[in-house]
Parts: sequence; structure tokens; C-alpha cells
Amino acid sequence: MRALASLALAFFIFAVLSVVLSIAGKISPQVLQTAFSSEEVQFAISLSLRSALVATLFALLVGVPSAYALARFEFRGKEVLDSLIDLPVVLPPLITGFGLLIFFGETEIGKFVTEHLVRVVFTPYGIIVAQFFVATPFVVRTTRAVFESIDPKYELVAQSLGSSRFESFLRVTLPMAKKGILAGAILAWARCMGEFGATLMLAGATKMRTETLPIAVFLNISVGNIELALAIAFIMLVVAILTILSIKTVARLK
Amino acid sequence: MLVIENLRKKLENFMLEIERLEVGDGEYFVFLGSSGAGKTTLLEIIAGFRKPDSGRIILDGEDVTNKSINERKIVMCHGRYLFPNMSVEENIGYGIRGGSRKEKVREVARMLGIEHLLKRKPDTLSMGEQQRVALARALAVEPKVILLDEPLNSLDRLTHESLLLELKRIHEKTETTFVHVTHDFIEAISLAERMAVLRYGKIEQCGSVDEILRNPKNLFVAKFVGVKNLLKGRIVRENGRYVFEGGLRIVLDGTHECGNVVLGIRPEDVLIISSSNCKFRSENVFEAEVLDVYPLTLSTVRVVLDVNGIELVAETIKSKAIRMGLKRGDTVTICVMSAIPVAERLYPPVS
Repeated sequence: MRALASLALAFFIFAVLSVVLSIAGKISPQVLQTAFSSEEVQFAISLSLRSALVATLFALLVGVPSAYALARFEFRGKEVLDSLIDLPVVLPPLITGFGLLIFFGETEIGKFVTEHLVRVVFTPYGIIVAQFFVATPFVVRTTRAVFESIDPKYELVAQSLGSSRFESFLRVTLPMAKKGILAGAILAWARCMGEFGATLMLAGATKMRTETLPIAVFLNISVGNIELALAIAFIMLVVAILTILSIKTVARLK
Repeated sequence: MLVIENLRKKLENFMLEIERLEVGDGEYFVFLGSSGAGKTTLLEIIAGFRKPDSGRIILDGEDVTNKSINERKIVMCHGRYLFPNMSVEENIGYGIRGGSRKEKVREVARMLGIEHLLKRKPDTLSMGEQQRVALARALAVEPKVILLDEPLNSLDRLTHESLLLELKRIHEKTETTFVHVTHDFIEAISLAERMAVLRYGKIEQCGSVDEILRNPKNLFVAKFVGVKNLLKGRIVRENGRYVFEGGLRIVLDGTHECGNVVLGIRPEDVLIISSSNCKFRSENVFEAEVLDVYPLTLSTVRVVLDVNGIELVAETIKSKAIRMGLKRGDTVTICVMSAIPVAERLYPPVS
């Protein structure tokens, strides 16, 4: 049993390392240098970082209160709601993006938003909307688990000391949950950085306009510019490793 | 005054039901009951953490049943729920409104002797210290009522004792009403002015500590307040005196109803004497065989006795047991100093 399990583990580790090394092995300092000095890569890095940050902030803004409601309140249809929130995780991002494209392009509400608030379809704002859809369920899931692990009596005791519900949440529960929320936010941010399918559908793949890192990889491969694609892939690999490291660090924080 | 009126709350296995209970201003009131008797739920209803199915909680004439938790002036004090993200100082200061927060924190911290802990985080404190901080935090908001949920639970003996004395001292210093729940009857009799014995959500008996100790209403209360010897028998009248007959013949003080009864004898009322000429009384003296002797606390021992085939449990001072050289197999003379008929109408009289 032990040997068999070890074998399975070794196999998968080998598979993961193969992927990592296939990318990293083809990278030379020169390739990276060329990539970093390319205006296109610089643009993609900057756009990815910024859009992922904004999308994650929105995801937190919506996700944390939603998670709190799911963790603390009992109401009818809670299970249905819970499943709906998970839908964007299970649904292929391409389909989510397709749905969003139709929503903003064809429906009355979508058209109203486009005309009066912000144009989303085939613009950089579309990236943020697409990433937000993918990131929010992550925030809700992780944060809900954190809230559920905190005994509600802390809040009740805070209220008996004179705090309002909201104040007890802000001063007691939220600080107690912040580590878990931060870990969830980092994961969500990493998801945003890698978001491709929904972005492609809603924001399109326009060079130097809606070109995030994954879109850049896609565009460069499609025109046969393998070296640049590899360099960007390598950057994303580094981002992924940094993400894992930072989550581990957060977990160890006091 | 805190009044609980017609309170009903359905719990998993039983109904919490209190017809009427009054706790006076500044009183130290204890709910005594085994775990699962509904004590914590009752406290949580008073605090507003939970809503009753029906009934009212009235504080100083005002119905607070539907008031939100933070407007009740009733504070839950619980050492396990110090806010882990704040220092002791911030914890104590949490509920203080207005300017003089720092001075107020110092003042209550000094009162509880925890000034040296102010900069520490709750998870670095011992359990006793956590309880003190929780009490300081509750006192700092100057509430009308402080609710204490088993505050002395799972403390080591020394801390238990010092914190118990501290609670008593602090209560005497403030004008706050303390409502304390516990399963420990020693704790209850040391602290309470009045208490209620709770069982499966109902009050079995409520009254002053003395009243309950001297006159437990039924077997459950008697057992709970430490009456170790319960003998079944009957009371008869003989030459103007009331005598209990049931394995042992015990002459009772006062007047009683004749008939079947359970007689309660507190272990400390079974006096072990070395010779048969009892100095205190001439009646209720028996020969007994020592079945077992074991330490109960640092200063007391429990002695299990066989009196004419009836087992009696006695408690005595350790030094006395040593002086007498009390050991298994000894024959001693005992004197039953006092006995209380419990549950006089508990089982039907024999026809």
C-alpha cells in the first residue's frame, strides 16, 4: 500500500516538474532580457497586475459580506444561493465570458450600463469584469470557511459590551478573520492573473489594449513567436510560485 | 431588579421553563445545575444572545426581551471570549465610551490586580488571568448586571480559590448584580446570597443558600447540595418526639409529618468519636465499622461507615482522622448530629 501510494505521488510530482522544467529549461537570460525590454510584455505585465488588483478588491468588497451572510444567517434558499455562487467556478470560463458578452451587448440592463456607466465589451474594463466573476466565488468560499470557524459568541460578547452588530463585526470578527481573508484574496488574485477564457470572450484579445499575460501568450503562440510566449509563460510560473510562497507565509503570520 | 417571567424556550431535549424569578439589585445570584440543565441557554436569553419562545425579561421595570444586545446594560463575562486580536488593555477598554478610557482601564485593572498584564495578548494568559481580564472588561462598562458562565470552571485548585474570593470581594465593592451559573455547589454556597437549583430547564428550588442547605425540597436538590446519605424509612411519633425508623433509629428535632420519608444526613453531620460516651448528645449514637478512609481535600477525609448493615458517609478533618488513627476495619462510635427529612410526600405511604 505504502509503495503504491508513493509511486502515485512520485508520478504526479514528476508530471508537475516536467511542465515546470519544459518552460524554465528553454529560458535563457537573453530571452528574458528581450522579453522585459519588449513594450508588449511590459504592457501585459502592467495590465495584468492592475486589472487583477482591481478585480480582487471588488471581489473582496462583494465576497466578504456575502460570505458573512452565508456563514452567520439562516434564511430560506441558502443552499440554492450557495450553489449559484459556485456556478462560475464549475462553468467553463469561456461560457461565463460568453454569457457576459451577451448580457452587456444584448440585454436592456447591459445596454443601459454600456451607455450610461461604462463600456465593458472589448475594452480593458471587460477584463476586470471577467476576472471579478472568476475571483468572487473564491473569496466567498475561503472567507465563509473562516467566518464559520470563528465562534459567533465573540461578536455577541462584543455586543453585550455595547457594540452594534456592525461595530462588533468590524472590530472583532473581521480582524480575527483577516489572515484567512488575505490568503483567499491572494488565491483570488492569482486566479485573476491567469484568467483567460472569460477575458477572451468579453474583452477580446486585442494587442496592446486588452492584452493580459495569458492573452499575450495566446497571441504570440498564434503568430509563431514562441520565444516571447515562453518568456511570458516563465513570468507566470514565477508569479504562481510567489503566490504559493506568500500564502504559506500568511498562514504562518501571527 | 431583574425579573424573569413566564419564560419558555424549547431546547433539544427539554423545555426551559421559568414561571417567575426575581434577582434583586446588587445581589449575587447563582444558578446551580449539572451540565445540560439549560444554564448557559438561560444566561444567553438574559443577555439577548438568544430569543425565548415566550416570556419576558424585565430589568428595572423595563421589558428588555426584544431589546438588542448592546442596549441592555447586561454584560456577558466569559474568559474564553477575550478578543484575541487585542491586547489586555484594549480588551478591557473595548466597551468604554467617552474620554477617560485609559484611566478607567487602569482603575479596573488595579482593582483586579492585573495591571502588569495590560500589554499582553489574551493567548499568553493563564485561564485564571483570562477570567480576571474578562471580569475587568465587563466591570469597565459599568453594567447593571454581569452574567458569569462557569467562570471558575477548569481552573486549578489554587486559582479556583483565589478567583472565588476575588469574585466575592469585587461583588461587594460594586453595586452590580451578579448572575452566575455553575455545576459546583461549593462554589454556589461560597458566593451566592440566593440561588436556584436547575434541572432539565426547570427550577427545582429557589431561595437563600441557608434555606436550600437546611431544607432541600426533594431528592435531586438534596443530592446536588451535597447530602450524601439518603435513607428510606418512616417517621413515627413517640412520647411527643419524632423518630425516624429505617434501618437506623434516629430521633429528630422539631416537628414533622409522620409517614414515609427519605432522611438526608450531611456527611459533615456524621461525627466520629472515639469512645461511646458522646459529649454532645446521648441519642443517635451508633457503633460503626470503618469500610474505607480516603482524602477528600487537602484538609478533609471521607470515611465510609457500616452501621448495622447501612452504609453512611462521613466527612471529618484530616488531622482528627490522623490523631484517631482511623483505618479500614476499625470499630468506632458515631453520632448523627443532624438529619433532614427530604421529600416527605415523595412516595405513597404504606397502607
